[in-house]
Amino acid sequence: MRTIGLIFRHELRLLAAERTLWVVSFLIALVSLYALVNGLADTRERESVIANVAEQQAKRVPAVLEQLARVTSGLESPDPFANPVDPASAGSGDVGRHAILPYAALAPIAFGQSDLMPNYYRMSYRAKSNFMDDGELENPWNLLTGRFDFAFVVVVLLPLAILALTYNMLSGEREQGTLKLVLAQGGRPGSLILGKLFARTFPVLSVTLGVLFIFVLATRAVDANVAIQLIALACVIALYSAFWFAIATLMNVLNRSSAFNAIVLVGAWVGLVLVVPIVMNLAIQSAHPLPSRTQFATQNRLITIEGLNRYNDLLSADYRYVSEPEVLKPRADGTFDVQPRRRAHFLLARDVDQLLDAEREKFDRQLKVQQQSVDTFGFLSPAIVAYESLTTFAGTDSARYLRFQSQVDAFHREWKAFFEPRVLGGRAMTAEDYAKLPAFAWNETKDAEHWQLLFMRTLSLLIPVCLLAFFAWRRLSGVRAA
Amino acid sequence: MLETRSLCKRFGETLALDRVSLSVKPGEIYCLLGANGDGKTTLINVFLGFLTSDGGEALVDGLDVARNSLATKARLAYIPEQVMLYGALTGIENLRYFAALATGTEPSATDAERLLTAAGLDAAATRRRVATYSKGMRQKVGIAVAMAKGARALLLDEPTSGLDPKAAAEFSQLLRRSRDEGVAILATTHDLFHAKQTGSRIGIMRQGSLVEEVSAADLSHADLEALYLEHMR
Amino acid sequence: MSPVVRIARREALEMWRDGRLVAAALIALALLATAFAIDWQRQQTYEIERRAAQALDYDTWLKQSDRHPHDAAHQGMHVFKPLPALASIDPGITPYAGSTIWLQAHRQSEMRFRAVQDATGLQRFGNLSVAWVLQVLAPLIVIVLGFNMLSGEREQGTLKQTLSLGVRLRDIVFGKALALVSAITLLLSPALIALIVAVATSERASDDGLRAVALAASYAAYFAIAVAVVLAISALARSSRASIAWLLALWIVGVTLLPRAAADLARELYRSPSRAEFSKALDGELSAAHEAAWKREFSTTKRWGTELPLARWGEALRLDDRVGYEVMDKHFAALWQSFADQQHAQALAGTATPILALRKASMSLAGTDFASHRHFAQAAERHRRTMQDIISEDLVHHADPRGAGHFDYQANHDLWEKIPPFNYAPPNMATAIKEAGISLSALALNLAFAFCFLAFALRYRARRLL
Repeated sequence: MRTIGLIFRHELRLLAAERTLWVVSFLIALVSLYALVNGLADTRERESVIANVAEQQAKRVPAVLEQLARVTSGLESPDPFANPVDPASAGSGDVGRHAILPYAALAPIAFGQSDLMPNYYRMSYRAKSNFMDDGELENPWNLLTGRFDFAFVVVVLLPLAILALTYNMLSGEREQGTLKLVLAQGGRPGSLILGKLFARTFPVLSVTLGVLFIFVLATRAVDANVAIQLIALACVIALYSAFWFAIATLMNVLNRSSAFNAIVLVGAWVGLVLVVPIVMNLAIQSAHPLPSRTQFATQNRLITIEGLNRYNDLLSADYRYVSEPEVLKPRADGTFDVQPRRRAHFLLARDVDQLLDAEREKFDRQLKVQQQSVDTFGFLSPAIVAYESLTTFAGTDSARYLRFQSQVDAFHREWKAFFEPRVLGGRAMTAEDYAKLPAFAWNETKDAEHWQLLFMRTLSLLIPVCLLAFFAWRRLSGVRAA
Repeated sequence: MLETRSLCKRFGETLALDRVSLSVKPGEIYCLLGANGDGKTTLINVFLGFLTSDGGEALVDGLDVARNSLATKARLAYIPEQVMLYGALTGIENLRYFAALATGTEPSATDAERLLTAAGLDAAATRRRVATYSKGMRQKVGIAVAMAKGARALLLDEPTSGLDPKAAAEFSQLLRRSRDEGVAILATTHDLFHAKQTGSRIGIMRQGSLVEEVSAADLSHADLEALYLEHMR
Repeated sequence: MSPVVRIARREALEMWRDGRLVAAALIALALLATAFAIDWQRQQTYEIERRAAQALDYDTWLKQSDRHPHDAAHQGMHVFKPLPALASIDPGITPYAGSTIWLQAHRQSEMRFRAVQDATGLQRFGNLSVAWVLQVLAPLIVIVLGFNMLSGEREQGTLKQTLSLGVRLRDIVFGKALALVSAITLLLSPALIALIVAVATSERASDDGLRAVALAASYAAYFAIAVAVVLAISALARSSRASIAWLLALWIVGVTLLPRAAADLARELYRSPSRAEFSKALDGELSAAHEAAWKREFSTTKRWGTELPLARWGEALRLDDRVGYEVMDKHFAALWQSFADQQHAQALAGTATPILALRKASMSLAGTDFASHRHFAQAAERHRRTMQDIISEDLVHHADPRGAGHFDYQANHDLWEKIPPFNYAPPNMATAIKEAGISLSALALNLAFAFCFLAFALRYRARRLL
């Protein structure tokens, strides 16, 4: 133990004198900070968008209620298509109710799917094709390139920094001839390696995690739950780094030259960080292909046409409000003459959704299967595990967006169920109805599931680290001095 | 064949060559003695055109190296201390490659083998990859390249250092044979024994200057050693 | 045989013998073949489906029952973006942009069904394609094969020996360059075969053939840059270790770091709106324009209110459309322009890292870039407007005269037939070349830089041989 401490201090001095450590630490701190600032700017922008949506939503219902009071008391003659009494108006979006997915406290660490998937939908009883198939607006070129976020720094750049510091830990000393001297003094290769490893792990991790912690604490609201997440995140980053430290250590005890180590390690990086993820993406897509969107669009169209035929009579009935403005007001018995065309639109949307849901289901199911495959085979590349974990902590992973969409879907059903008797039965909207309007409440995953996933991911990082460390340990006695 | 006239070369403040004038005639082996850093290798590099002189001339077959670097190289062959070859190729392939680069025509495999065996290499060894060759074997390939090129002057940089006595003797034998064919040979060395044994003339360099020039036949080994130590003091 | 060829031959033989060439060839072949097989098959299937769907869509349009034209317009038509044959080489932004537009009444839609939305987070690591292998991995292969070509010979002393034979340094370097180029050509020949297959199976073989030639030339320029830079650094570096360190650093910065930094920078320079901003601005301006128009034409700002008799609904719809066209043109043009500007800015950044220039040029030539996407979106919108105009005209002439019986009116097959089928012709090669202009120039500039750098490195090295 004392030897390790001694070597640790000696190595730190050496590294400091060589400037490599300074340069690497500085670069890591710099890119981490830039990435976090970049992520924060984007998150704040998106948060302000949903805050704005929430604010509009909060203002909208009182405004509608006021108008409702004016209309029922006969002070105002309502618009035919924005009539607070008309359930068809309220249900098709006039109350401005939204389903909103909040951004997580750690959102700035990974853009994930946030530049692709919307975090809010305006609720209406219209068919899902009308409001749920559009994505966020983003330049497709930027989606292709990806953004400079902290996840990129950790997953892609951090391993390079680690490899740059470690690829010649022992081989360099062997080539200089100093390894012979050290081992001749009775130093054991094991303690030498551990000392060297700590001297490199400690600064790299403390810089990366230090920047992360300070940044998050300074810019985000951190409660106990977030603090725990932050610690878990730190563990994942540490484990991912440990993988690269371990692979470099293994190369160093194999007695090869520094140049050979460098090439093999860069090869490993290219393979695990660049090639495996995209090959796996292709493999998973080929193994569990999604149905064709082209055919989906065609089905949508055929179903719509059938609906139009079915409700042609309702659709052909004319609006009567021009000749009989009183139809825009509630009747004394609380009923309301919902225009036949509007009833037809409601029915059409209901039918389209009903018939298309089976198709949508297929997409969702396959996507879930794909996501499961990623979770299952992700261990083949620690980069995948690290990326998936980081986006999960950031709350920008595709799984969370899928959950959001399925919750929106449930909310949409609830919404339609609320309006169906009112629109089809011709019941005027009242203040009580507005008070009972379904509201969307985002339900974050069960903690158990979250931690289980994290546990699995931790394992799929930990096992390769242990294996590599074990092989390195087995080869220790074979370390040659020269 | 090889000649320098008041050749000077400086590296910054230090004078690596200080008005060196020497001449090696065809059929002569000139051994240049001196300690490390006394300018022997610099002299060879000037002959090869890798360094440009700062004064005086270096001539090969009467041609100024500085102005005719390609033409003079065509007349020279250079054998460094460690003859470097392409490890992944066999002896024959290396020879054919270098000979082709030097002369523009590639010798046939049989010619190459003949040249290599003439230089003292085993016929079997000529087909092995050079990565397996010892230092002495590599030098034989170097000599074979020089023979293939038909070089009229050989420049040898510490050719015998690190060779075992048997390999060194074989190498000296090869050099004497070339000499007898009328090749001019300039060899740098620390090895007094080798110089006395193979050299026709011996020069001693000290801090960039040629301080002594003697005929090998005029001196015994002991005399040469005394003379050398005298200058190195 | 000239010394250049001899050196090249010897160099190639060595690469072959030490196994580097074989290993690289196997990896390249596996990746290229997989990528092409899957992308090509996808493209073919998609095209078959698309044609069938497009035909079916129009067929159902023609065969629909008699109904009010506005309802027909609401249900609209779908148009599907064709996938060019060369998408099997470079899918470009295809997975990140939509494939289908729903042409409906009232409003210009965006393309939906982006493949990336139907994929897991892995898609964000990138997209395996022939182009990806060539752009990202091929330079790495050049580095691995070439990093020690000059530094290694200097370290071993063979360089000095070869020079002592009277060979010129220039010839040695050219020989090595030739060996490197031949090795790369051999390694990447599967890509060339893929290109030929893609063109041969294309329906627009003549245009795609020209595109393929330009594509091959751009990639050749890219590899030439890689070869020149690798040799220059190998010549300049003090040792092979320094050479590989510099080259890897350059590759990492150029291939992974700079493209992302450039994307961030381009987004800063040319801001594009979020969906919320875009919708808000568009809606705001649309309703203002509509209100103004209604005030002028119908003396009311309340749209679709009781003041407007049903007898003028056709007229009002026509007015809404016409006023809307201009506003939508303005907003979509601004949005798309911001995307196009971002992309051009990144192509310009291609002067600093050739991969960006090549990526843009490659996409443009393959017809999978944003300009092609936009071209299709505009054609689709034109088609939507044709449909809208015919329908509104019909309403004005047939529904409006019926007075309060507006929705009683049912159009029939005669009207459906007036709407032409959607026939889309993608832009041709000349347009693509024009679009790729900046990036091709950036690539050419890079090539010139690289050659100057190599020339400088050789002059430097010639003066300091030892």
